[in-house]
Amino acid sequence: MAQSTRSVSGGGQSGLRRSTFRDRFRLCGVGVIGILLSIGLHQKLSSHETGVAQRAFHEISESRAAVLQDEIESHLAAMYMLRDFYDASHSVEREEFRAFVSGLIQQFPSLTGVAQSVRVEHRDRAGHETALRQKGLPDYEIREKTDDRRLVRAGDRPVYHPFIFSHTDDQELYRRFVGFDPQSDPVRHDAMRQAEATGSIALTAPLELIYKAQRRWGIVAVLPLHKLSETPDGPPRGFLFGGFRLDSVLANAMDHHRSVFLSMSLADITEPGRPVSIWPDPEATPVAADLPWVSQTEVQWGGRRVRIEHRPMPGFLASYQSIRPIAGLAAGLLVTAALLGYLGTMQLRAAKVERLVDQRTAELSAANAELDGKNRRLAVLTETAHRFVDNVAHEFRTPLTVIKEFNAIVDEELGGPVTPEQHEYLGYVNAAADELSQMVDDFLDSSKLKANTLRIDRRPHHPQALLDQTRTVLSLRAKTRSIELIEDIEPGLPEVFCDLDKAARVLINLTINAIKFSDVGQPVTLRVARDEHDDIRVSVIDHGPGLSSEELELVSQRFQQVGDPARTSSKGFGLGLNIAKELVWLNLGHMDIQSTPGSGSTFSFTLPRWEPGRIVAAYLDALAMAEPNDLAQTPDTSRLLLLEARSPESHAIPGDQLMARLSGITRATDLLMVTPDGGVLLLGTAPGDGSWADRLREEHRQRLRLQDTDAWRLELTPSEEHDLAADPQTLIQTVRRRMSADASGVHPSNGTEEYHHAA
Amino acid sequence: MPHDPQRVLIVDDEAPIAHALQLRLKAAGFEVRAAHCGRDGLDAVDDFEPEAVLLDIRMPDIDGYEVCRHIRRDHEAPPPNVVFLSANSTDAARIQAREAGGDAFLSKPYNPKDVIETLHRLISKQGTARSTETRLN
Repeated sequence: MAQSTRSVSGGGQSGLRRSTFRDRFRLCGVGVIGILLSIGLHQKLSSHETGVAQRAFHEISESRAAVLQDEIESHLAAMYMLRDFYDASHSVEREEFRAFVSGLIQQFPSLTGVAQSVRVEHRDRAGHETALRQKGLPDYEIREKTDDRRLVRAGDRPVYHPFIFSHTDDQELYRRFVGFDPQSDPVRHDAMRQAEATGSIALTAPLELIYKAQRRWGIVAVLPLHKLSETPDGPPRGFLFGGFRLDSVLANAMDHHRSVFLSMSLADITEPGRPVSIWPDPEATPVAADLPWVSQTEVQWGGRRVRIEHRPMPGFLASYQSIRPIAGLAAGLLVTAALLGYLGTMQLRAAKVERLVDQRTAELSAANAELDGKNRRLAVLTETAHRFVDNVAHEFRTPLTVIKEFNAIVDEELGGPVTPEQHEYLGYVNAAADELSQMVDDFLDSSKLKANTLRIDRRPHHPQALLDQTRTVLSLRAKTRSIELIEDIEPGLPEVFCDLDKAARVLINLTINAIKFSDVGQPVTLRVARDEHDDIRVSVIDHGPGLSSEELELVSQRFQQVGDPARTSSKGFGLGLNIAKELVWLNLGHMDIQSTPGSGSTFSFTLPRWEPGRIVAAYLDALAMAEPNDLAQTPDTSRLLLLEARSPESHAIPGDQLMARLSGITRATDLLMVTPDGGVLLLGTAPGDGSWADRLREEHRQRLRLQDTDAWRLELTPSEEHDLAADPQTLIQTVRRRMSADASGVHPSNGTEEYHHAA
Repeated sequence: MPHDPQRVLIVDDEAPIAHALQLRLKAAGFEVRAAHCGRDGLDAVDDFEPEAVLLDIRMPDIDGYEVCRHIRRDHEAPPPNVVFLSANSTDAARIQAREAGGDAFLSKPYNPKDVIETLHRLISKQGTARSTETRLN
C-alpha cells in the first residue's frame, strides 16, 4: 500500500519534470526547424541569384568580346582610310602624308604612328638613296636594325622596303626611322609577307612599341600598297604600317562597356602552344577565388588568332546579390520568432497549470513522505521486533541446550548411577525442555510468517513420507506419557502436493497437542486417508476430554481465517496450533476440528492430491480463504497461476490490460503458474505472440526465484473469456466453476508422467 | 598413528555447553580440548592441531565466522574440519557459515548422536584424503 502510494507520487513528480523538459525541447525543436527553414530559403534564393549572376557573367563577357572586336576593327579601318588616301593620288608628298596622318591620329588616339615604305630593287638602291638625300633628307640611307636594336646601313639584298614617310606625335623618333627597312625585323617581315599574300591588313605579333618615350605593348598593322594601274597580283609598290597601342585600344573598348567586376585578359595564340599574353598579365589581376567561371572568345584579327578571356573579379557576385535572400532569411526568422512566442505563451499558461499541479503534488508528496516516514518507522519497528524474536529464540535455546544436554548426560549415567525413579523424573524434565524447544521453533516460524520470509517449496510426495519424517520425534514424545501412537494409512493413496517440512510441522504440532490432552496410556491415532474431494486428509485422533462447544466454536472460527495470531493464545492451544493453521494454508489445504466432550477430539488437515485441476482449485480456495488484506501479503509469492486462452477472441483483452485489472483485486503474481517445462498458464488472454507472457514469466522467475514445480495449462472457452472481459472480479468464480464443471478441461501441459518425472 | 585418539577442539563461550560436549566426546573416544572465546580457540588450533573444531557463532570477542575464516587462512595443512554449532539456525546463518568455510552446521539444542556422527564422518573423510595425499607423495 505504502509502496504503491510512494511510486505514484514519485512518478507524478518526475512526470512533471519530464513534461517541462519535453515542452522546452519541443520549443527548441520549433526554433531550430524555423531557423533551418529560414536558412534553407536564404540558400535557395542565394543560389538562384548565383545562377542569374553566372548567366549574366557569360552574357557580359561575350558582349565585351564583341565590343573589343569592333574596336579593333574600327582601328584597323584607319589603315584602310590611309590606303584610300594613297589610292586617290598618284603621288603623295611628305607634307600631304603628315597632314593626313595627324588628322588620323587625332581620330584614333591609339594609333601611335604611321609609316609608308616603298619597294626598291637592289640595282636602284643607290639612285633611290641619292634621290631622297636630294629631297631634303641629307642623312638618308636604307638601314636595318641590329640584334642590339641599333640602326645601321642595310646589307645587300634583292629588294628593300625602306620607310620613306613616317609620322607620329614624336617626330624626332620617327624621323630616325626614315630609311629603316622593316624587313630586317622578323615580326614585321612576317606581317608584310602575310599582307602581301592576302592583299589585306596583317597584324604583327604583339611587340613593344615606344610611345612617348615609354615602351608599350602594341601591334603593327601592315597593309600592301599597289599602284593604281597595277593589278593586285603583282608585288606591292610599298606598305603602310600603323602602330597601335593595345592598352589604349582595349581601354577604349572598356570605356564602351565598363564593368569593374570583370577581369579580362587577351592572349595571342597564333603560334600553336605558345600563347603570348597581350593584356594584362592574368595573374596580376584579382580574380574571385570562389567563382570558377571563365568565358573565352577567340577572334581573328588581321590573320592572328586572339583569345579573349573573362573572369569574375571579387565583388562580382555581390553586385548581383539583391536583398531577397536576406529578406527571405529575415522573414523566416520572423515567422519562427512569432511561432516561438505563441508556443512560449501557451507553455507559460501550461506552466501555470503545472505549477498548480506541482503545488498539489507537493502537498500530496508531503503527505506521502509523512506516510512513508511512518511506514519506514513501522518497518524498522517490525524489523526490530523480528530481530528481537530471533534474539529471544537464540537466548532461549542456549539454556535449553544446557538443560537438555545435562539432563541427558545424567540420564545416560555419564556422571554416575541413576535410580529408576530418577530416570523417570529426568524424563519429565526432558519432555518439558522439548516442549519449550518446540515453542521456540513455533515462535520463530510465526515471526517468519509475519515477515513473509517463510519459504515454501511444494513438491509431490507420497503421504507415507509425512509419517516417516515425524515418527522419531513423535514417538519420543509419546513415550514420555506412555502413549501409543497408531499409524493408520489407507493403502493406494495418490501423491500429495506440499512442502513436506511444513506439513510435518503441522502434524507434529497437532500430535503434541493431542499427547498433551490425552491421559497417560491413551492411544493417539494418526490417520491418513482420502477425504470427500479425493484429497488427502491427515487426522490426529485423541481420546482426551474433548472440547466444549464454546471452545470448539472459538477454535473453528479461527480456522476459517488466517493471519491473526494476536488472538490465538486461547487456553491450552498455544502458539503451535496457530502456526499449524498458517502452514496448512500455505500447503493449499484447510484444517478441520471435530470434538465430542468426554470422548476426544480429531484435528485434521488436508493436502491436495497431486493433480493439476485439483491444485488449481485448492489454490483458489486458499486465495478465497484469505482476507482481502492478506492477499497483498500472501506468503505464497513463489507461485504463479496463468490461464491460457486459445480462442479466436484471444485478442479481446490484451494480457497486460487484464493483469492491470486483476491487480485491482489481487496481486497479479498470485494468479500465474509456471510449468516445469518452463511453459506458462495464462490468465485471460495474451497478445498473439505470447511475448507478454514470456516477459512476465522471466520477470517473476528472476524476482521470485521460481522453482519449476507446479504447472498447469488451462484453456478458457470464449464465453469464459467474455465473462472475464466483462468483469474481472468474477475471475475466481469463473475458474472455479470451470474446475468443478469439467476437471478434464485442465491438463498438465506435458503429461502427468512427466510431472512425476520432473518432481 | 591409527590408534591415536582423534582431537576435537570445542570453541564455545557457554562453559556448561563446552563442558557437556567435552563429557560426550571424551566418552565417544575423542581427545578433547575446550576454548571459551574466539582468540583462545585460534591459539588452541595452533597448539592442539585438532582434526575437527566444534565452533559456536556468537562469542564475546570474535564470532565463529571470523574464527573459521582465520583457520581457513592460516591452516592450509592439515586443515581442521569446522563444524558450526549454533542456536541461530536461520538460513542466513547457514549460508554465512558455509561462506566462511565451515564443513557442517548443527543447531542447538543439538542431538548428541548427530554431533558425534558428524565428527566421525568428517574426520574419516579427511583421513582418506590424507592417506591419498601420503600415497601421492
